Amino acid sequence: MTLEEDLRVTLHDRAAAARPPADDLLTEVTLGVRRDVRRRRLVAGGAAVAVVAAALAVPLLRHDDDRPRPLPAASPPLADDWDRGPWTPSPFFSLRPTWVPADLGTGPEVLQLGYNEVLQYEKDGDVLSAETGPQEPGWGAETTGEHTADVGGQTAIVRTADDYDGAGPGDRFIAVRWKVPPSDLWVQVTSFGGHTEAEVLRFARGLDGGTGSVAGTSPAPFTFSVWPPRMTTQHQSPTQVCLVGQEQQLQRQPEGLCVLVTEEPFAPGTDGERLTLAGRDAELHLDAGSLTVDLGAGRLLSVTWDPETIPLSRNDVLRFAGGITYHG
Amino acid sequence: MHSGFEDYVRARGDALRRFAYLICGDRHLGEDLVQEVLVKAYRRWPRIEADQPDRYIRTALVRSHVSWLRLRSNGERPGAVPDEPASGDFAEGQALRDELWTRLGGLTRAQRAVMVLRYYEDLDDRQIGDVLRCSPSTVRVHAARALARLRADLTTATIEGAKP
Repeated sequence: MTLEEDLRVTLHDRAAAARPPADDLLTEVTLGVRRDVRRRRLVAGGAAVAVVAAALAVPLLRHDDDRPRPLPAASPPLADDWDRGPWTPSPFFSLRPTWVPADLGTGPEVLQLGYNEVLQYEKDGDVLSAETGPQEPGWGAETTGEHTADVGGQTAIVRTADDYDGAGPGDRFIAVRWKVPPSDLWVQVTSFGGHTEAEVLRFARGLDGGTGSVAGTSPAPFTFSVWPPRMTTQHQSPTQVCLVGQEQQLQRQPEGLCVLVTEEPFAPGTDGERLTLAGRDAELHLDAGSLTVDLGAGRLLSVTWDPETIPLSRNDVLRFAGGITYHG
Repeated sequence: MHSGFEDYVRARGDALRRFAYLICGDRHLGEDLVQEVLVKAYRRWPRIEADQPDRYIRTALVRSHVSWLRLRSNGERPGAVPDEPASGDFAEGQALRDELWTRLGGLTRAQRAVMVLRYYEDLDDRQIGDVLRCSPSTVRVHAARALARLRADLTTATIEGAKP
């Protein structure tokens, strides 16, 4: 079964096995309703004070109507400790490939996945990538074959599969994984497509540490002018950048304060806050950690964050997003 | 007490408790959540009843739980081992599902809600976005990150389990 099928079964099994507590729900809710009625009657006694406070609060809180609202000309100042740019994150790959299959050409993309660095060639559906870092990479496909090979004097595990999601006729999955002493960093070369195991191993054996790099070949498509303090990049790819606190352990999966561009039309819901950000329509869901900006031409810029770990205020989010320049 | 409200709680109470349990991963927290949401719903019951009460209550449960303001202690951790020992393929499948349930506890609340709404309630991304008050693209981001996290966690758990 796939992970999605397992999830479906797991959730239905758990729901079916959940025994309702002995307490009668209706009795508990009835008691709760009575407590709620009593509490509201008590609160009503202080209504005069509450009305005054609410009237003062209206200009700040009333922003949930449907009218687009431009950013105020003079936004509240940022806290002094916010970092300022311009800053365009540029991921770095620290191994230099000395041989690449000719059909893949030049112009690889460099990505950051947590602590790991990735160099990726892609052409006509074929993908050849190299990943290195302290975190063990994932295999990326259900494999059916496994054997070992020598890569630079190290024993490498080679895993293969004759089929994978999206495979065409003749396509194979081949991955080679080994560790580099004395740092014990992982290296994995992965191929999806028509390349042979001999080609994949030749590419793997040609990765040359310490004699150069291809850093800066694919800077992020975003430039930031301001961002929250003490944050570092957690994920970088051609369409997405994520930032997390400098003290946080980095996962390989994107997380934190993320900026992402997708190709889909702007379709705001009914209960988000509609606003205008740098002249563009946008929709903010502060408590869900989501800001979507219409870039036009069927593209969206999404800013997402986990409000539990990154509690940004409305002004924080708008200043951060308003300072993003997209180069796509 | 509105008779329609009583009928609704009697008829749908257990289903709401199961849904809240999946959203929270904790029976007691789920029970508190259902009671709190139903008490608040009672205030507006005539309007809710006239529309789609299941949809309203389900949305309120998710939003109340996901809201970052709702910071409550969560003592129980999900992932208890099965009561009865099992064997063969069934045991392997059960072990995987136990592990999967445990790993759901490592997701953010929004990611977990997306998993439950998509794979338990069978809602599409637009419907999930309406519940979570975000765009379908944000739902897809939550889903992709949740699935990637679960895949990585399960792989790590398998490797750890295979060590002597």
